Amino acid sequence: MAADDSTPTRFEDIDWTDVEPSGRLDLSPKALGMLVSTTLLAVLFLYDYFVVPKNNDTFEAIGWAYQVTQLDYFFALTLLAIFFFTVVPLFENPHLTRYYWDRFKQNRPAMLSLGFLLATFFIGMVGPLVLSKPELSLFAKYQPPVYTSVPKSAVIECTGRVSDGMCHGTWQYPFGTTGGGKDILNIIVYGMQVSMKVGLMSAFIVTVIGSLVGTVAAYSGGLVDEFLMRYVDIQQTFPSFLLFLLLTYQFGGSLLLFIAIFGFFSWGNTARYVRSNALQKTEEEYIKSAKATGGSTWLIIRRHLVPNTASSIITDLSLLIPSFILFEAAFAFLGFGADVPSWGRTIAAGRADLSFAWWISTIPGVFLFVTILAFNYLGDALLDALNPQADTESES
Amino acid sequence: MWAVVVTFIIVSLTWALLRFTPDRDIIQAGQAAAQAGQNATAEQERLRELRGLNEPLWVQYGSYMENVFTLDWGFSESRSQPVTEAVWTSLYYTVQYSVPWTILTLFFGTAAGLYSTAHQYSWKDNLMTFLAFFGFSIPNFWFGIILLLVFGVVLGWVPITYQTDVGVFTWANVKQLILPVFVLVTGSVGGIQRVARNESAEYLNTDFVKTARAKGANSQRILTRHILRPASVPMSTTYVGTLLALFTGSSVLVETVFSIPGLGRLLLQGLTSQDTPLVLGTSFVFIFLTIIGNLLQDIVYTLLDPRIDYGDR
Amino acid sequence: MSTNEPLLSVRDLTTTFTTDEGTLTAVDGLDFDIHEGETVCIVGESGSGKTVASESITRILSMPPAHIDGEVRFRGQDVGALSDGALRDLRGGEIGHIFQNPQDALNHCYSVGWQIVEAIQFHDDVSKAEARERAIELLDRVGIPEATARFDDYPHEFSGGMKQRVMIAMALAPEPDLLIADEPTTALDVTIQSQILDLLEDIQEEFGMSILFITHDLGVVAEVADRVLVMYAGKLMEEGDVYTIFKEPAHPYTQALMECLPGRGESTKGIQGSLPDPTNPPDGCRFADRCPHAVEDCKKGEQPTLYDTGTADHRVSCVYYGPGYDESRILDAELSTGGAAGNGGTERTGGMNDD
Ligand code: SF4
Repeated sequence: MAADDSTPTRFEDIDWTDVEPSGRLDLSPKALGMLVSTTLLAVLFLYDYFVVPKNNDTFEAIGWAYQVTQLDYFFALTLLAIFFFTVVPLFENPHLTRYYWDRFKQNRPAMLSLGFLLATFFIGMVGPLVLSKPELSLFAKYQPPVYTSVPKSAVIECTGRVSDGMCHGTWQYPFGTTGGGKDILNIIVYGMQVSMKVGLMSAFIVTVIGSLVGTVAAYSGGLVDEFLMRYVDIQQTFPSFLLFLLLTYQFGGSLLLFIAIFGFFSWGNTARYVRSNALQKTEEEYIKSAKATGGSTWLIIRRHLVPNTASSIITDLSLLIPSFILFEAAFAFLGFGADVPSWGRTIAAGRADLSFAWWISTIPGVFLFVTILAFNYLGDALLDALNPQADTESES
Repeated sequence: MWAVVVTFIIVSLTWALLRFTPDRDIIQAGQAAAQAGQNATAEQERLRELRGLNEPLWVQYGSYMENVFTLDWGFSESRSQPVTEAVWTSLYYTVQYSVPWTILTLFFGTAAGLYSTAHQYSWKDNLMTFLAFFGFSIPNFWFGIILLLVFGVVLGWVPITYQTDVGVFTWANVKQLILPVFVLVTGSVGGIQRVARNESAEYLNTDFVKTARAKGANSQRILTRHILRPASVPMSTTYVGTLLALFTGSSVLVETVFSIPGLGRLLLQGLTSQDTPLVLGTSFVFIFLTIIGNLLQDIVYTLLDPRIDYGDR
Repeated sequence: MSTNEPLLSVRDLTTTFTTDEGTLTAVDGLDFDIHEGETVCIVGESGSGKTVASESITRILSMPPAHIDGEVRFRGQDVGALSDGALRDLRGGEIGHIFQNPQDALNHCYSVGWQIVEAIQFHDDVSKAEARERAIELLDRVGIPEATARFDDYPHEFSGGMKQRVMIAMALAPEPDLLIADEPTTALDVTIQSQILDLLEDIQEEFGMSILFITHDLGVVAEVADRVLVMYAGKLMEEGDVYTIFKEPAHPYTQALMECLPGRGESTKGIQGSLPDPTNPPDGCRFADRCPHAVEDCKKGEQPTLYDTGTADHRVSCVYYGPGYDESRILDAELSTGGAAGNGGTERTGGMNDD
């Protein structure tokens, strides 16, 4: 190994939890940060729930017209979790981070993907705060994207130059507009947020439930284990698309529900990884010694088990997230989507107009495609970078 | 054996799902009655009785299970025909594209995977990887729309609408199925390629491959005989999983895009017209297909690996 | 040294692997010859590069990541210059291979008969029926009872020793002139080990082939070898005929190996320390870190050249045999047991000085 022995050289060696229960009151800054931010979020939620009248904006008191929904609270929680369990540990282990970064950097497509996804994430976060929600405006329908044109007859009012009976696109609508006159750029930006929400929040649920079930199964053993794993078998036998479709049919579709359905029925693999890892690790000496020296089971799980399984979980998630995004788009396309400006809906909406207004379906389609492609490349690179087996192969 | 248990459990769960969530029909009937100035509760009560919802739960459950397994799947209001009949006709169209889809995917996916293994970490491997990622990243339904636009509308090479009245083995049928099959294959071949590549790469450094090389086998023979055969055991598992996972979603989406009146569309029709027996019936078919797929995989397993005894499973 | 041309001649064989941690040199400048009818043993602990060396001869290592340099001549023919097809004819056809672990060396998906027939048909243009007949004869020859009935059985239906017999039959099928046997008995029980060794000896006599035998077991060496090569960390340390090596081991490493033999020295103690990092080998003698006789010069420059000891065909890579040193210091030294520094003082309880 390249790094020296005193620094952790593998993902598994990160000390993910510095929360040593040595003294009740001396919390590490990280634990403190975690506590404070979660509490703040909870307080805000309670304030919103009990104090603010039902249909008023949450931040009315400070004059910000933004109605925080349940979805937003949950999303905030997800982001906090990602921050404290991914970003912070990477910062605390600069050596290791450098090591992974160096390996990761060699993979060009993955670097590009990471860049694209980060951009999508930040634009998706900030964009909707700045841009107005895509709105119907019939007079602006079928405006072509900038540098392209459409027959004059297709549009009511052309915002750009008209020549030879063709309406040319302008920078006012760089991506053009839909048949309802919605600005596609706005839709794309809102769609980014929707996609990120669907992907990340479902993944969050999957991780929490999967780790929980996996550890419980491994540590209880016997009937509980048998039962849980059989349940996973069944859940995985059931075709997920059908399951999601039926549930949407039964319960009606909102974005939160979608996320819940995806999350609650996709944790099978994660649970399996965690379980098999737990079974394997409990046999290993350091867990035994940790037990012998009186470490609590909970601490062992957090300090050894979760980190050890992290690389399989992350790899699994990197495949689940794009499939969630794709599911959401597909459902939106089929007309079962939630009432949010998503890419899938726009693809469906533009379908009938494809012969003259190609951009309506195409542009969101390209974004959807590239996002999923990026996740796939990223997942592949993570698998290579996090999986120490991959490079020992050649040393035999 | 486990497959039977799974079928039983899943069918039961489906029942529970429907039974213990508010029934839309009844709510709607109530609303309709209320609007017509009638007693909503009485109307709902009447419907409940009609459907046997007042009977003890286990009786309901019993007759439900009996119906499911005797293929008495009820009557589809929206299609005005028994559900089994509707399913049967749709299956005819679904099979027409699924069979070539499966065969082509398995063939090209495996070939591409082995090709990648043979050229591991070279540009050829990277190209294959890109094609695989491209395939499963491109949203099926969107890709279908674009292809239909280009080859159907603009170039006019393929018909835009699906004709149900052409024979199975006719040129016209081939022409109208080319695009759906192509779209489906691009979507699934990548997954198979990845599996084939990763699984067969595991065998690249085994002792018996070395033995084969030491015997004087050429690389093609090593790949197709000495690696493919043992690798096909773990591969078959993932293959079945991958294909089955894609099957329901792909058929719904692709049938919608190419207006093929198959199972996927039937399911969709059931959902949009709130035709619960139809929804259930089509779902059963998808579920049974999945379970049969899993069974098949177990059988393939024993066939491929001489070390597994038939008695073991 | 026999005057006629050797069957196999290896010059400056160097095999490297490219890894994330840098270039790993598994075999470093190896020279040796094998003559017709001769059995040559390569001895060394695991990681010494002996297996890689044997697999570099016919290039059956997967080519990337392995990179093979140097010259290998078989019957005067440059193996490195052969076309792919000719190389494949050589593999199996003229140079047969058997491997350490019969458990994994046979493909579990095919019957043993199928696998032997395959080997025959690669090299001889015979019908299936003929090949089958020959395969059964071979199975019979290597001591598989009821060969006809067992032809269609799968490897998992055979015991380890039987599998190794099948491997031998398969290697013999195209009647090679050289058999490379890589630790063929290591994975087997002691009784079966000797049966397999006997079988190999019988067959060698019958077919008149040469054997390159790779092992870490000096007991096996004593039994089968004509000549011995001692490898350490990719380098040749000592070579000589089997009597010389056992009677007068000249290299401190060979001596340490001998110490580990039961009945010689303290058998329970292995050589202490570990092999040097193969991606970044130390200057000078590779064995210096573990050598009880190491002096300043040992850690400078290259691995010492192979010096003649004065005994015929006996050469040693150790500074003590070069100019300016007195080799008797090593030959006569009262060896400290494990060989490693630090436990000098322990009495020897037996060994090679008694004659
Ligand atoms: S050269 Fe030096 S270190 Fe190497 S074996 Fe001889 S004495 Fe020992």
